Amino acid sequence: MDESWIKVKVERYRPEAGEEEKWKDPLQVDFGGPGQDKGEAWLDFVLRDVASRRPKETEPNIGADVLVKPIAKTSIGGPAPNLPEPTVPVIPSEFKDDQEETPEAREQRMVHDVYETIAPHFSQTRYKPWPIIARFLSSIPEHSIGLDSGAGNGKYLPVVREGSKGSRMIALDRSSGLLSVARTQKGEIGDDVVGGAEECVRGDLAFDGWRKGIFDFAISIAAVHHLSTRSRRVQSICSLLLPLYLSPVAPYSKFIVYVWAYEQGENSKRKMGVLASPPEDHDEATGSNPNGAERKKDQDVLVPWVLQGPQEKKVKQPRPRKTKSKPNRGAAIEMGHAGPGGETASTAMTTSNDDVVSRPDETTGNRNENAEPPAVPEQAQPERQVFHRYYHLFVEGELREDVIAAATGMGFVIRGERDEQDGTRKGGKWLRIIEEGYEKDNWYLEGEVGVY
Amino acid sequence: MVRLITHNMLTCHVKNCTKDNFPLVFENVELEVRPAEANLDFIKRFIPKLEWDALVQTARSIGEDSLPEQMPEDKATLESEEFLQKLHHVLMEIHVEEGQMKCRGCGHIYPISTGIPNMLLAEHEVGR
Ligand SMILES: [Zn+2]
Repeated sequence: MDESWIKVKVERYRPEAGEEEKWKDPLQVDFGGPGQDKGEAWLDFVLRDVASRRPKETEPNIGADVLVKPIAKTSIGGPAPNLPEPTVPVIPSEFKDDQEETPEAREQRMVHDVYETIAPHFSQTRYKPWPIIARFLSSIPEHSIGLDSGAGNGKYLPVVREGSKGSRMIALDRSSGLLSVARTQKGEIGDDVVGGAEECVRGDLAFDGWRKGIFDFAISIAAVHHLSTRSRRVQSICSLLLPLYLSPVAPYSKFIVYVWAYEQGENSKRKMGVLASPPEDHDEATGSNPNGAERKKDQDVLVPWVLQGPQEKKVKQPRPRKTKSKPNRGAAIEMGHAGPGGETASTAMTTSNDDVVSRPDETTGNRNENAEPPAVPEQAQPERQVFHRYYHLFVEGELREDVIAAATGMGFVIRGERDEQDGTRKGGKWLRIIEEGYEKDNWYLEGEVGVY
Repeated sequence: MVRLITHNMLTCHVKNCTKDNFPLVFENVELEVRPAEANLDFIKRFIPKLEWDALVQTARSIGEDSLPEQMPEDKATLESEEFLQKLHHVLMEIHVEEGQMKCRGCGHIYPISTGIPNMLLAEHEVGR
């Protein structure tokens, strides 16, 4: 039996003309169970009758119970679907600076262990990048070699392979589970990977073992925000810049960093972190950096990832400490949320393999939770597990500060738009910020490096 | 698939390991040769970045001795299709699937499993 079906109550629906089983646009669903909020899902759904478990022939009535199954989307790069205002998909991080846990241990627990566990659920193998990343990758000179730092499941590898003539990227990631997906990542046109596999290297974002000057470009998409201290984020940017080839003449080596934004929503006015904290804290900053971006204490958050699994694999875990927003609310919401760095959430409720869900890894202290199982017939009873991943949400200007801190720390001169080549600096390394901006809840910065 | 192109980029990054940290030495390797579509322009563009001695030495260590000891000096040979094809084969078609890479400087061993080299270090080995 396919375990990925979940029982929901139909609140309202809008069928597409000519489609009987596929549903687009918001299908409001009720996940049931005490304390669980209703959520809207923007994924395509296949509907099934609860009783017969056969495909629904007719439109379900409002209020009817149906089984739904999210269908993985094949592309998210097109125009944004008509999403309602995003709802807060996060809970505040419980980390405090004075906690004894080291940043390394915390990231191990709250990022790496979670990704290893959910890695097989990154089922999506075809992917269109956000416009900014697509534009960046298509601007890469032909026959280049690049680094994808924090490549995850390698979804950008085929984008480069197919989109930028003759160029390739090497994937670096901490998770062997994700890399094992990345190494055989197929592209839009379904081409086989040249040579049978992509090149993957296991290492963390601060890996500095690359020879200097070997890469023509480097990207780090939706990765740096998983590091839990500023020095570690800056260090990861150093490691991105370090192996770039420094040319005295154009074309120079380009890079792009893409991170999740603190400022969320269409007009950037929605402060996700702010909403995640109690009202009295809204405008309270823990301190501000005299040089720029104001730091908010709620920039560090935990974002849930929902796994469906077979009931018999249930692993008893203590519920997380009390937090101010309901984790289940976030979990339901993330289904429809186009997540950080262009990650689609369509995988959030995909089928679980037995061997995945059976290992939420108690030994490594992974935080996970068994949500109240919905009232579903015995044999269909799925188990929802919620894993929380740590994110640092970047405020406006913060990414620029971190890039500049990394570059100047490595001896780069920050080059302005109009400054002329200066003979006295001959041989000196420079970095120029080409563009920085905001795209779909993320901040990005594109730059290039070279020598005078 | 640690291919030789990737191997030619990787150095040991253990704290204070600065001598003989490149190239890493393959040990107990399982090889697979898989034909790959040649992109000779890609190879040509990569040549200036190659550490030639390391490449030749490493290729020979795994039984591949088609490359000359010295990188050809004249451009005509260097950019000839015959030479680029040879280089393509060595860099792109030989996959190390299992085994390990050992640092000659500090002895650190980087395991290779299902084609993925593990460059992670224990906290105390990190040089930052
Ligand atoms: Zn070493």
